[in-house]
Amino acid sequence: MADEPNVHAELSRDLSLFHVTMMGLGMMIGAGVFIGIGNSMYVAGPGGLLLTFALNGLIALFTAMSFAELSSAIPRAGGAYNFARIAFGRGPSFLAGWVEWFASSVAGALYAVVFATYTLDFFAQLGLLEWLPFGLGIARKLVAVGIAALFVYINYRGSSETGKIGAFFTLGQMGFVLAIAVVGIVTAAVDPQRVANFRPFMPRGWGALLASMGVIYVAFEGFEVIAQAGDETVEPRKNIPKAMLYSVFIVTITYVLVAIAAVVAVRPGHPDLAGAQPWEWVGSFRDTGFGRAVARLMPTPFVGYLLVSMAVVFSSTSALNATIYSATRASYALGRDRMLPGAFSKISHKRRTPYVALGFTSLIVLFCATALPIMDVAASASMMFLALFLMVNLCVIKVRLNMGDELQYGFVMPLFPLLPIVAIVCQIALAGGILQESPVAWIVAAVWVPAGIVIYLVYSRTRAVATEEEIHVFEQAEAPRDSRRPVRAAHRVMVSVANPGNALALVRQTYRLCEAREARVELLHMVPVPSQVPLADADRYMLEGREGILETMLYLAPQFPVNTHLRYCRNVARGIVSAVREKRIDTLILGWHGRIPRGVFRLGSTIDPVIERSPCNVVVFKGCGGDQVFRRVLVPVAGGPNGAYALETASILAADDGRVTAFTVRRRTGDGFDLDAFAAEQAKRLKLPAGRMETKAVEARRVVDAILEEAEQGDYDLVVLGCTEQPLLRQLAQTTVPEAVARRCDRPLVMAKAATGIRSWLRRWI
Amino acid sequence: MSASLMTIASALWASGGPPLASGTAEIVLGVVLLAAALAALSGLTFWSRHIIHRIARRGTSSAREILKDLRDGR
Repeated sequence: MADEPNVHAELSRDLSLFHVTMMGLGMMIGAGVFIGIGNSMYVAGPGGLLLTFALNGLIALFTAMSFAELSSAIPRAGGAYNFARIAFGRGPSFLAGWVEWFASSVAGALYAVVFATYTLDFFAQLGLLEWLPFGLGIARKLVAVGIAALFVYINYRGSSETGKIGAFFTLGQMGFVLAIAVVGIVTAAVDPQRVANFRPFMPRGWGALLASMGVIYVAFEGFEVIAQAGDETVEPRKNIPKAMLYSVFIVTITYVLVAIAAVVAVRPGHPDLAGAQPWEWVGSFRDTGFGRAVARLMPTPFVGYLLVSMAVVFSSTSALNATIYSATRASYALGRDRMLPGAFSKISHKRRTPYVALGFTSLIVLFCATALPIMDVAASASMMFLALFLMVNLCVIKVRLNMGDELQYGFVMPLFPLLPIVAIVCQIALAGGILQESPVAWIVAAVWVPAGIVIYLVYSRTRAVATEEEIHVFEQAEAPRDSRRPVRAAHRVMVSVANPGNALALVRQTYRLCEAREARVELLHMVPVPSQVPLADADRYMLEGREGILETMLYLAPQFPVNTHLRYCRNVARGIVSAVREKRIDTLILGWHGRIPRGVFRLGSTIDPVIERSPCNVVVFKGCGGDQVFRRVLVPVAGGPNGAYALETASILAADDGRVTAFTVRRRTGDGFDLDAFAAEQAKRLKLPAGRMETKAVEARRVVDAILEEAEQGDYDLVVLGCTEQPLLRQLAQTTVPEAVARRCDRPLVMAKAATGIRSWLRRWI
Repeated sequence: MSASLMTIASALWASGGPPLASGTAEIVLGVVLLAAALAALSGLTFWSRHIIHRIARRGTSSAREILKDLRDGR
């Protein structure tokens, strides 16, 4: 047992390589590819389109390698802002944060506009918008404002998607995009005449390629968001760099395949072309050219429009959500470090989200979505990301040269410093290319960047907080090595406390359980943090969680030897399961308030997944507080490991002179379950003295009613239930017996689930 | 991926007349550029993956030590 109780503030690391890769893919396959194909076809022709995606992918990979190297050496949330601060100090880091804020906000505006463009185009093609009293252009602006406002509100509520849920959305959008690519490739293979669509390869000359690449570069932004997840990722020094490189690689291959599909989509000589060449016809629609092309690729245009619209809805909404929160985090960080007024770091007491930063971000998003044409929005976003990535490529050179011997690297890029220098040169060239197509993007950059420099010189320079401890801070943010692979102690028990006020009751019952074996007790309190606030900063702002658990610990310390852990997480259930795995816990103790949840949950949105996914024994207490002594304990059983574990738990919780009643309900005489043999076997296993366990069986059609009636009439002090072992699909279809009893029983109640390993887990899922 | 590029290249060859006719050089250059870009993308990605795994096996350390180990083939 620990000699001195201690509070450890920790970050919950529960995102794997798969999750962070999906996070990058979800951000990248946002909207750029959908508007990019038509515009790029118009600007550079069919060959230019393919080269635009392939070469941009290569340039993005160079920058991704810079991000990967820096993230492996500095695995703390903060991304470019943090790297610039370590490499160059306050001024450039302010500029990086300032540019990142604007770049993400403009990208958000772009996703909102693309969403509006494609959804309205879908309805317009079906002839459902003829009643509109105003033009389609105004309708697009209104829908863009509406969807942007909706996601600003969702971010304010703090319920943005998290890595694990987002992974499923990303798989969905990848599925739609790859389906289009596969249909295109198969069509070209079946009908080789379509391959002639690639001729002429570069109808507007090679000079047009640079303009096309510059404007479409925004389709490759998004991998940098992975760096923000450094605090939440398992083995960040290894997985963050891999996820960045994989996401750029997968996205580039996907884009090239989709571009091939778009080029071969329209058969040469199709009546819709009216004498134009296929690339001219697709390019003439500019933003919606991709949708028109795919419509001709599918068996019917309706299927094509539907497929593209679904892909756009999936992609643009998830990317819009992510960019709004990314932009909010960037401006919040500037406010936190006093580079912008402190109001930017204000957190809503109710929602725990940085509402001032979110408010200013929403103003930029709404302005860009309404005031600029879509092509200029895309070009402006590209321009700002090029500036940001250029800074990161400078950072990687400076950090390697100045601190290469101090930092611990998980990845060093090959061909250093050639690759970052090539990336910088290419990014300058792409910015020049943008000037050909969208002078507005240069005007926007020429206003925003100097404005940032003036604000820094006039305001931020004298107010920014000191930066001496930058490197030490991220070292502290890493989960301690011994917590990931702790030395195996005796029996490890973890008590998860949702409400510090209930901690005493839970710990008291836990110590009763622990008396039966030598056990070490860990007290865990999870503090949920909205995704707009970096987990590393949560300690500073989520004071009530820390204070509550400190008070609890001070009260419990003289009575019980406990180790106390305060963890910040995005999702409480995932955080608890992650802690159980990291600490190799044998038994997890939870409290249940007893309120019946609404919706699909059986006991609660946190408790259900924790019971389901924890790889250890789980014991849930309801109404067992105070100094209650349990003399008569009812244990409804029907065989199985959870029933046996319920009997074991009941025999420990029952007073020395108490009696445990193993109880079963038979629907008809001669039912298969042999209660007496089961109880005798368990009494022998638990070495219970004779007479401490008794059995009782009744016949009834309604099992739940029979158990509740027995609990009431038998005057039991405590009911102990084994959790259900029914397969998950059946659980979704009907309420199981233990959960139904738990919900309706008004006696003190305990639910128990035994750890039975991978076989049981597989059986339940299958 | 390479199969589809080959299909496109051969069809372009078949439909485009003799080599180096008008536009053909452009196509050849374009396809070579495309293939080179994708090959570089794949090569750099998997080379980087190899480096990450080697560092992970050996344990993180400073850039200088990692580069020395990589040079020595350890």
